Amino acid sequence: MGRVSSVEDSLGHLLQVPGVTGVSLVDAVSGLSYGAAGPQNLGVDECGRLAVLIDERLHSAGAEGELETVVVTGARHQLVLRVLPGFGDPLLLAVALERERANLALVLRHLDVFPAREAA
Amino acid sequence: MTTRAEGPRNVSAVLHTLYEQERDATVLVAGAPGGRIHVRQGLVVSIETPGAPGAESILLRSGRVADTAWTAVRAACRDEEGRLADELSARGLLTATEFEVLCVAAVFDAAFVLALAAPQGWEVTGPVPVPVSGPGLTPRRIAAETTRRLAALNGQWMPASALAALRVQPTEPVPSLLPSRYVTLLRAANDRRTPRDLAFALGRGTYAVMLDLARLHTLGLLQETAPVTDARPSTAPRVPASGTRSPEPAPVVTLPRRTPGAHQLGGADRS
Repeated sequence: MGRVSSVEDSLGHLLQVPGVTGVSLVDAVSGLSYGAAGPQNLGVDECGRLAVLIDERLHSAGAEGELETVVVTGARHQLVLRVLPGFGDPLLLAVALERERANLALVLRHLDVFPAREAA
Repeated sequence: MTTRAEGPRNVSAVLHTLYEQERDATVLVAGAPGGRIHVRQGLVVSIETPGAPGAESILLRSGRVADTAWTAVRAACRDEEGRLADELSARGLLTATEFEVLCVAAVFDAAFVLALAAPQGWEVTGPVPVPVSGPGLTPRRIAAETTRRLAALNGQWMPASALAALRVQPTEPVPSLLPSRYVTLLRAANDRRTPRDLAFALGRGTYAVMLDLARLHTLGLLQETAPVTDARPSTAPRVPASGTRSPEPAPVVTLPRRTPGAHQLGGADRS
């Protein structure tokens, strides 16, 4: 009890990327939160629903293949949703950014190596 | 297996008591589907129920770890609790994070399934060995997540307990412009499988399957093939309850016989 879980330990690494204010790992279908790190608390259930809806509508619009990343940009903040393949159902990595401080390309690069790094 | 009149009033209360006492125990839940809740130091580490696939079956169904490799890992751990995660990651089969995600998902899914019907009773026993267990979860967190799931489903198509017993099949033709997860689910849905059966067949959570089915219904892609009942899915014990047998045999019905000479061509009954 009280120990940091493996999930939260892995998410903690992403908080060291400049501009990242919150990270959550969530089940993309059930909306179950596996862990979170950082001061900004994301509504993970809503993030999951958003990704499901985008995936659905993109396919209706004729897109093929699997959804990988969603980037939502606001005036001051950004939200990045990255789909990670899991067992059966995919996982969703939700990252909140402060736009002034974050370099989106750098964040995406970190998300690319997240599964590999986590395995190390 | 009985509930004590002065004891906790439901399984959730039992788990809460065990949590406060930081006990090692196993709670046997009777009912359909029923199951076993494994508690260590007051925290829930695993739930086994025939109503939802466990971590082991989801892992093997996904093909992420081969059967032979899994058997070898199990043998190396000799059913020693808590060693599985280390052994899997030492062999490069599964990271600690992956194993944790797998186990946590399975516990919440099983808890949801147990909450679909009121249990017939429960019994707290000493700790039964549990080979596959993840990080401990507090009863409070499990209760909150289960409530969220029931509310999410009840706001859709039909009550969750009814959906759990439903057999569906896709409306034809299945559209091609769909995410692959939906296509796989629609292909697996025939008029014989309940959500629980689909979850086992696909190696997914029972709740996730029910949520997807509700969504597919909203999209107009499903048709029901069996009447909606409150009965549990196919996990019920196949033993008739005493006293429910029909009291007397059904009356013998003979086929109508033709009476010789009574038949007339062009009779009045032909209309």
